[in-house]
Amino acid sequence: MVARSLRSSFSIVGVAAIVFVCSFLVLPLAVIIGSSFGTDAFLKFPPRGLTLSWYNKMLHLREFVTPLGISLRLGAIVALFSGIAGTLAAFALARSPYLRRSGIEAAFLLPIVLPSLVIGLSLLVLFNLLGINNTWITLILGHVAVTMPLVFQTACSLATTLNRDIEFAAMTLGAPPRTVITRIVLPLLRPALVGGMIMAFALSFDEFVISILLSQGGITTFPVALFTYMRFSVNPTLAAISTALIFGTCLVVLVLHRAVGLDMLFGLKRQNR
Amino acid sequence: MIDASRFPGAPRYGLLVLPAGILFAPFYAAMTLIGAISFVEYPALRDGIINITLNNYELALLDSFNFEVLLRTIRLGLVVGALSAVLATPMAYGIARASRRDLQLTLILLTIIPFLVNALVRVFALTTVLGREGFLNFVLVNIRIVDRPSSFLRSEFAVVMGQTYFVVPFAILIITALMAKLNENIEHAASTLGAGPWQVFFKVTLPRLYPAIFSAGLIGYALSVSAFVVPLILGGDQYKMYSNLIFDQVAFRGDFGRAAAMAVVLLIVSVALAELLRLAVRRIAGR
Amino acid sequence: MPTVLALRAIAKRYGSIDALTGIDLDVESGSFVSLLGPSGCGKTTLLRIIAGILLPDSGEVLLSGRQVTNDPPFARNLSMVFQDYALFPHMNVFDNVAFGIRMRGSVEDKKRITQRVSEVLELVQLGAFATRQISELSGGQQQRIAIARALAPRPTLLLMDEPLSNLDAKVRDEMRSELKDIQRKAAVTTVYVTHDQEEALALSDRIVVMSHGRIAQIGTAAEIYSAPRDRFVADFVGKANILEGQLTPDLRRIAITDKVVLELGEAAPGSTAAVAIRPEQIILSNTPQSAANSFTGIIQRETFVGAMTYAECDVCGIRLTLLSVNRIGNNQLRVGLRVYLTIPPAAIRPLPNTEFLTQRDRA
Repeated sequence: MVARSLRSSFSIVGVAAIVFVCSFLVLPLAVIIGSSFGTDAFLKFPPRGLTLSWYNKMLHLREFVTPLGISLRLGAIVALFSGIAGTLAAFALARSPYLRRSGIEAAFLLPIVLPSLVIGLSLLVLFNLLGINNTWITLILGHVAVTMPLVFQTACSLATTLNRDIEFAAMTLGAPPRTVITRIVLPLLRPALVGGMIMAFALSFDEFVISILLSQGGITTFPVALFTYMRFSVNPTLAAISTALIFGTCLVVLVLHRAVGLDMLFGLKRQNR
Repeated sequence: MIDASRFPGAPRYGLLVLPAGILFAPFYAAMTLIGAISFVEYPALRDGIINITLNNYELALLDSFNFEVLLRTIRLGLVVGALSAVLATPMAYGIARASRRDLQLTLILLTIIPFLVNALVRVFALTTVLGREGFLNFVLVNIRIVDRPSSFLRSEFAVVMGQTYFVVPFAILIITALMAKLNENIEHAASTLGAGPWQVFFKVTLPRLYPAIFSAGLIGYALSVSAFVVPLILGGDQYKMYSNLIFDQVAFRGDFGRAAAMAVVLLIVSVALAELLRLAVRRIAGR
Repeated sequence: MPTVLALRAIAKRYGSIDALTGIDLDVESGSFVSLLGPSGCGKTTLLRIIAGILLPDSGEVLLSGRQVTNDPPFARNLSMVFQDYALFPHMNVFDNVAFGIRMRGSVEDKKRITQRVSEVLELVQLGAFATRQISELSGGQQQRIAIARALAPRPTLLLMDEPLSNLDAKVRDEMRSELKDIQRKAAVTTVYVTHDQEEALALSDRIVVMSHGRIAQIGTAAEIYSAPRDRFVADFVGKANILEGQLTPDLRRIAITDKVVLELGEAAPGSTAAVAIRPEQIILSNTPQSAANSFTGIIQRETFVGAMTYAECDVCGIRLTLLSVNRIGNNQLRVGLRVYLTIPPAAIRPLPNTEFLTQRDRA
C-alpha cells in the first residue's frame, strides 16, 4: 500500500474493502465446494455430515460422458483454429501499418462487446437460411467467433514486444519470407500461441449460450448437458461436478500463468524478450 | 524508429491475416443478415415471400410486456454497472498498488479464477448461497435477523447479485489495467508534500481513476443488459430479462424476424448506448 | 581495387522530410568505411537501404557491379550486425552462427558446417561457446556472436549499425580494437554506422561524414580531422575553435576583430568566412612570445578530464578553447591564470561561408 504506516485508517478501510470483495468473489465457490460433502440429499450449507458419496456418484454418471467428449474435442479444434489464426493476425497487424489503418483490428475485436446471444442468434439464422445442418461446423464457427477476439487481443500486446531486428537479421542472412515466419517468428510467438490456445479451449469448453442456440441439431456440449441436469435433478452430485470443474479451472489458470504470465493480462509487468 | 515500409522480401502480412478473416466471414455475414431479417416477416420468408415490415420492431419495443421487460433490463443494468464499479475499485487499487508480488498474485488469482469458472457452475453456486437451505439464510437465521429461512431466488435481488458476481471480475480487470498505467510517483509526491493517505486518495488517485471507473461501469451495464444465463436460472419465469425473451422467440416460436428485431434493440440498448454515453461524457469532460 | 558497393543518387523521403538526398558512394573491396553523423542524419536509413530492408525512392544500389536496388535482402550476399545484437533467442550459439550458412552457404560450406562455425567462433575468440544458450551470454559476448553469425556465410559486404552503442564503456573500448582485428583477419568489406567520432576515427579506412541526409565530407581520419571542409565537419569531429572573420585582400590574413588578426599559412580561398583551430595546436607558454599569431589571455574556465585539461581562455574578447596534457612538470591551467599562446599559421584551417557543403568523392 502507498501509506507507510500500516495502522492508518485509510489502510484499515482499504484492507477491509478488499477483504470484503475477495470474500464476495470466493464465497459462492467455497459454498458449493462445501455442499458437495454433505450427507443430505439436498443442497445445504453448511453441510451436515461429511461424505464422498456424491463424488462416487459423479464418476458413474452416464449422461455426461458423451457431452464431455464432445466439448473436449470441440475445444481442441476451436483452440487450434482460434489460436493460430488469432496469433498470426496479431503478428501481421503488429508489422504492417497498412493493415492497422484498415480497421481490421476493430473488426476482429468487435465480438467481444457483442452479447453472445446475438452472435449465436445471427449464426443460427444464417445457417438456417443456407440450409446448413452440420452442427459441428456451426458450433465451431460460433465458438471461434467468441474466442478468437480474446486470443487476438492478448496476442496483439505480446506481438508488439517482438524485436523486429531479429527478423531483419534473418532476412539479411538469406532467409526468404516463409522461412522467417516458420523458423523465427512462430517459435518466438510460441508463448502467445500456447496461451491463446489455452484461453480459447477454456472459453469454448465453458461456452453455453452459443451452444444451446446452435445445438438444435442434436449435438449436446458439456455445459448444455450440465444445464439440463441442473433443471431436473438438483442434488449434491451437481455440487461434486461443480467442485471438479472449479479445480479444473484452477489448473488451467496455473498453466496459463506459466505460459503467458498472468500479469501480462492485466498490463502490469512488461516482459522483454 | 525507421518506418516499416514495404520492401521486396518482406513477409506478405495480408496472407497472415487471411485465416482469421475466413473464420470470421460467416460471423459478419450473419450480423448483416440479422439486420436485414429484422425487417422481414419471417413466417412468410419460409414460404419464399419477402414481406418488408416494421412489425417486428413494433413488437420488440411497443408490446407492453416486452417494453416492461426492456425497462427492467435497463434499470437493473444500471444498478449492476454502478455496483460492480464500486466493488471493483478497492480490488483494482490493491492489485495495482500491491507492495508485495505474492500479495498481488493472490489478488489476481482471486479475480481470475471466479472469472474463468464455468458460468453454469457459478450460477449454481449462487443458488446454493441464495436458496432456502443456502448460506445467506444460514447466516441471517443465526444472527437472528430473520426467524425463518426463505428463498432469495427468483427475485430481482438474485438477478442483481448474480450479475454483479459475473461482472465484477471484468470491472477489476479494466480498472487495474488502466490504473497500472498511472504514474505511481505522483501519489508518492503528494504524500511527501504532506498529504495524508485519505487526501492522496481523494485528491490525487480517485480523480485520475474516474475514467477507468466510468468505463468499468459502462461495461458492467452492457454485460448486464445482455446477460442470459443468470436471469434464466436466478430470475425464474417471473423476472425475465430481454435476452430471455429473445431466446423464447427462437426456441418456442421460431420467429427469427421478431428475434432479430429484438436482438437489434438489445444491441442498441447495450453496446450503442454505452458507447454513446462514453463519448458524451468525454466531450463534457473536455478531453 | 574493385568496388564492392556503389551507391548512385540515393534519395529517400518520409512525408515532408528528406531523409536522404543525392548520396553517391563507392566502397572498395576490403576497406572499412564509416558513416558518421549525429542522430537523424540518415546514416541508419542509408545502411538499411544497402541491406535491402528499406526501399529508396530513387537511386541505385550496386553490389559487385550488379544492380540490386530492388532485390530482396536474402538475395544480396551481405550480412548485418545490429545495435541490439538481434540474436535468435530460441536457438543456441551454434544454430545462430550456422543460420546464414544453412540459408545461403555454398555447398562445401554446408558440408563442413561444424568446421566453419568453429572457425568464425575462434575468430571472435569464443571458440568454446558453441553449445551455450543466448541468455547465458554477456553483452560483449552477444555482440561477438552476432559478428560471428554475420561472417559465417562469407558475405561480400558486412554492415554494422552502431554495434558497440549498447555496451558498457570499458567493454566498448576492448571491442573496438578487437573489431578492427576481426575485420582485417576476415578481410571483409565493411560499412559501419556510428555517431561516435572517436570510434569512426579509430576504426575506419575512410569516413563519410553525414548531416541532414547529405554527405558532408569523405576522407581518411587524418583528412577529416585536420582538413575539415566546412563548419559542420570541423565542429562535429573533435573539438574546434571556430572563429568568424574577414579575409584581408591579399588572402593571407584574416581579421577576427580589429585587435585579433591571424596570419594564415598560405593563401586562403576567396570564399573563406571563418577559420577552425584545434585546441591541441595552440602552443601555450608562461612567457610572452614573439612569433606570429601570439596573444595573451586569462583563463576563464577549466575542465579536468583526467589525462588532459581543457580550458576556456579570453583573448581580447574572443573565447578560445585550449588543451594541456596533465604531465608532471607542465603548468596547470587554472582559472585566472594568464597564459601566452601562439597559433601556428599552418594549424589554421579556412572554412567557407556556408555552414555546410556537400561533396562527392571516390571513397
